[in-house]
Amino acid sequence: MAFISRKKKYSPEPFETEGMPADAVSATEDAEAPVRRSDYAFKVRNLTKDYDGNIVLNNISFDIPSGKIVGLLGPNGCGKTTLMKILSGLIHDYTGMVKVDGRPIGIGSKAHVAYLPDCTFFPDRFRTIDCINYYGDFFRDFDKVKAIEFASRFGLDLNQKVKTMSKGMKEKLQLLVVMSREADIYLLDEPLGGVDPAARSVILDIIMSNYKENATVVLSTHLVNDLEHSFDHILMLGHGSILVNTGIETLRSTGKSVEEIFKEVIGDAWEVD
Amino acid sequence: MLGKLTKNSFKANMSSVSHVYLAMGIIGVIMLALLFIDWTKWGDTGIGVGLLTKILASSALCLTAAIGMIMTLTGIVAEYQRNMFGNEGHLTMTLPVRSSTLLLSKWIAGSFWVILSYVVLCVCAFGSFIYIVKHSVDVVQGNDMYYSVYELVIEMVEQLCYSAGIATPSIAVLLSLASIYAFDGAIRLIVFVLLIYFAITISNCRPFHKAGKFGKILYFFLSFFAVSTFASMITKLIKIYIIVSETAYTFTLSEAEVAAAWDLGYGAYSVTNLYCTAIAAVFMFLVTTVLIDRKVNVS
Repeated sequence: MAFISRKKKYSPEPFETEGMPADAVSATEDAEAPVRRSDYAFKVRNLTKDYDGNIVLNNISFDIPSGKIVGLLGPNGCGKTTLMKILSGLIHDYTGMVKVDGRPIGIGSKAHVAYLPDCTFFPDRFRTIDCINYYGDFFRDFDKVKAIEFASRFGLDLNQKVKTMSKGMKEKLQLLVVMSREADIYLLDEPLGGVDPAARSVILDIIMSNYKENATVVLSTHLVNDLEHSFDHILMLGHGSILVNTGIETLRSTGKSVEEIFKEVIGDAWEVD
Repeated sequence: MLGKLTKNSFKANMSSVSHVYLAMGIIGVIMLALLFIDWTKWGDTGIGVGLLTKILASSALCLTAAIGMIMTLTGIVAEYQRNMFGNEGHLTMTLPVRSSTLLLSKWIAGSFWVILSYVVLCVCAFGSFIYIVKHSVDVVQGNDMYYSVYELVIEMVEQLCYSAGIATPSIAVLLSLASIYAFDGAIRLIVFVLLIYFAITISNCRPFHKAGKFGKILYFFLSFFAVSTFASMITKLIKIYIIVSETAYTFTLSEAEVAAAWDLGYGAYSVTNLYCTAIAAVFMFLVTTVLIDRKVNVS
């Protein structure tokens, strides 16, 4: 079997700093420090996170190679959003070690990670142009011209306030600012959630045609069928563990689709979902 | 980065308090207009409808200013919670800036609005008091009791000094003392804002989050008590004063010199408590920064 069944838990190898790139071990907190790209977008060792005793991520360890489009799959409540938040530096009270592009989580990693959460994060008082300017102010890799073009393509008025926008418009706005960054890593949490099928293909096209070359894109979704042809790598979470962490070619060599493998691996949890 | 963050925090706070300041502006204009109405045309002697209207307008202005201060405080609390640990935190906390820079920007903007609201409240309260007293005095102008506002204030200060059993300081000393106390008040308000931010931050950390919304109030009062106790204890051990004369500021440790200064028409001010409060604030700032860096979760 190319993937790991839920009955056979992933057994992490010991964390070996000797084998890691020098920059990953001694990365500074300085966002401007010239850090050589790591071979791995993420190195996670013995990561555990619980909410008031309810364990969401249970001692998980995995590596994700750089430059891949990664599907982060799993049933509701399996810890996908929690993992994304940890990788983007929004959750701190976990145990274990996490390196993002060879850097410890901090200013250095945040400067290189473009994160799209599954909620509206712009203040209601902001207009579209304010959101674009805000990103331009804080992210050096932000392309303002590209963002304005996207806004035009999405039919967003630059002077419209966020509070007057529909849910779909807000999602488009957030996607356009995130995809206007030339980031090394994109963390996209359910970018297609709650979007109609017509908009879904447009959004997917925006994502797939606008990320920086050699960047790593992590995309969490339930829509396995729509996206499985876009993924290079699959990371399946369930029951607090890593159930699958492998390249798409390895999965396909089993003769099954990603969705079939997903259902097989997740099992009962999928049916509950 | 600090400038951009501060600008954004400033605008966020402004959006939540601007309507209160607009209301105060309108009431202020109405009060000024009332000054120019000659109530005697309607047969009023000056102590009837005219005075009643002015009292009501003054009270409304003071009440609005007080509401403005409360709303400013609730506004900065809500903005900090929303912007750092709520949905907007998904953006704020993923910015490539240091947590100390983030906190400092919130602190600067929050302090500005709180100090402004406090100054407005003081000006409204003092202005309304003078407004009513002046009106009452004007009514009896015919008895040769005319006062300007300036004369009125000076007489009140003289009466206060007489009651306290000290010599009345000169105008220069009074102004210097007023500046020192204003600075003291501003520093304490700034520390007050930081303690609010500390309380909100710690209430978003495990296991302190279990206390819920009540926890923010509890942690605020606990931190306030800790800082006040620290400052009071040190003040009891070390007493440093500034003696304010017309020509100089002199530091002293002698309470006898302070008593003598008041008798000579000088002023005196104890600085130890303020120093200790400021030192405690720096410590609280560092603690809050560490909490943001290592403990808080964005929900």
